[in-house]
Amino acid sequence: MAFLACNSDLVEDARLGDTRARERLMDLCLPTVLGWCARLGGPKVDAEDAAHDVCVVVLTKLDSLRDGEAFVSWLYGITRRILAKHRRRGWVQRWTGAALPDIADLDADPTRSHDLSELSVAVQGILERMPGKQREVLVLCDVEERTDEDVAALLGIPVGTVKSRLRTARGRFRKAVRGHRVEPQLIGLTTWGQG
Amino acid sequence: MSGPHELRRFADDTRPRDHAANRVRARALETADLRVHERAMAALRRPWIAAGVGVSLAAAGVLLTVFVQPPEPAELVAELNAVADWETLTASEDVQMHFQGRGSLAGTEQAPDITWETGTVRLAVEPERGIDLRVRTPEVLVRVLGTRFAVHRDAKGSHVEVQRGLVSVTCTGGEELKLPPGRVHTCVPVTAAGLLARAQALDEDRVALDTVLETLDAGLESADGPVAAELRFYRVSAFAGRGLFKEALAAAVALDGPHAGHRRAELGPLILRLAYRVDGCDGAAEHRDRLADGVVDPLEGRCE
Repeated sequence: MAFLACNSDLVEDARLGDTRARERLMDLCLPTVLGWCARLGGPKVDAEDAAHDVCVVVLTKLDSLRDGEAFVSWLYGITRRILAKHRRRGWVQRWTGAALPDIADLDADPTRSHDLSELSVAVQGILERMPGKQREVLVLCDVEERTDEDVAALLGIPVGTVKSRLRTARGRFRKAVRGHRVEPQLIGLTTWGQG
Repeated sequence: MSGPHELRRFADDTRPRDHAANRVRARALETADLRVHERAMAALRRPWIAAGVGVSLAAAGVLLTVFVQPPEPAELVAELNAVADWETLTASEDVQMHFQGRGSLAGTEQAPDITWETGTVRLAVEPERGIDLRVRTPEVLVRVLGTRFAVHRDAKGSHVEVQRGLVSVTCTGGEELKLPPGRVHTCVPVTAAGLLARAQALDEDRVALDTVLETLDAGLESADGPVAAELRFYRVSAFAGRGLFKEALAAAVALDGPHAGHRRAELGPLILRLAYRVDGCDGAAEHRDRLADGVVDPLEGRCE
């Protein structure tokens, strides 16, 4: 898969315990994993914490991976499980009253690296209310600009299923945007191209 | 792009930053190493495996005693690695080591040479047996002739504590010092990266801001490139972390330019956030032109 430029030799070397290959693999994976965690985790998941947990699983379980070519799907599967765990934890914290960071709170700490614009907070809210499978294809196809074929391989589902989920997700997103209370200039309704 | 502009904006806002990746990378490698070590230790704790290891070691010991004539003095080679618990090693009948951390042992029984990387090593040396023991870290060389002492190394530097006898301590680039029992001496890091780590550790301990800033300045004397940019950038964080946003803003504005190095792209949004914190939207408006092309305005939608 082109979007994660890790060849099977690198994965194999890392799997066999080559420290340099392991670190190189991590350098290649981390931006992708961090992006997945930030975009799919939702407002109650700390993307860095989740990405950390994914990397630890990758580093400690790499020897259980048999086929180097399947690495990216394996990585995505781990990310998905870790995110589900973190989302559950966020849900529990919501009910137990644990403190949760407000990602839109500019007053909290000006040195924070990830401040979302109001528009992105609104998008995140809409994604959060979508069913997980639709959110997933919308983020992978339209936010991360992956092809339907890449996403199908990543999720281990047929391309036709990706297309139908994407169609439904786009419709739901468009409808949610129209009904959103944020000002029109923040949520500018534009049309999807033929992607 | 096949999606609408709000998704494109979301993609920009959530694009992974280098420093976030670096933070995660460092934490993950450390945690993974720790897990692997714990797994190995857990396996050793299983009684049948421990018994097997014990029998093997005993057999190896007998074979060595019977067939191998040890050279005089015997050479020492050992990796010292105790992450979870304290471990004890008898380097010779005159030298006992108790350690938690990482390092290596070389030299001979008569002149053990320990290179210590991180954590604490406590040493008990039999007096008046002519043992010339040395402990080295990047910041210090400790020499001893019969005593009991400890060397602890962390981000703040190397700390030498003497319990019995007299120890010679030479900080890197400094003069030899005789350290009596009950005294602790600290040799601070000498490299710019080491001084940055010390400043961060002091800052986390909420040591006086002046001390943190002095440490950053000391690092800047020998730093260049990315480390220099990090040292300057950390000054902004140190102010902001104490709620001194006006000072943080001044430091960030002073840093804006070629000195910011790899931090330059994130400096513009940071200055805007700090200016907003200090003077609201009016204050932030003065700094809007500092945003590099293509960098998302963090105040968009808030200050129109």
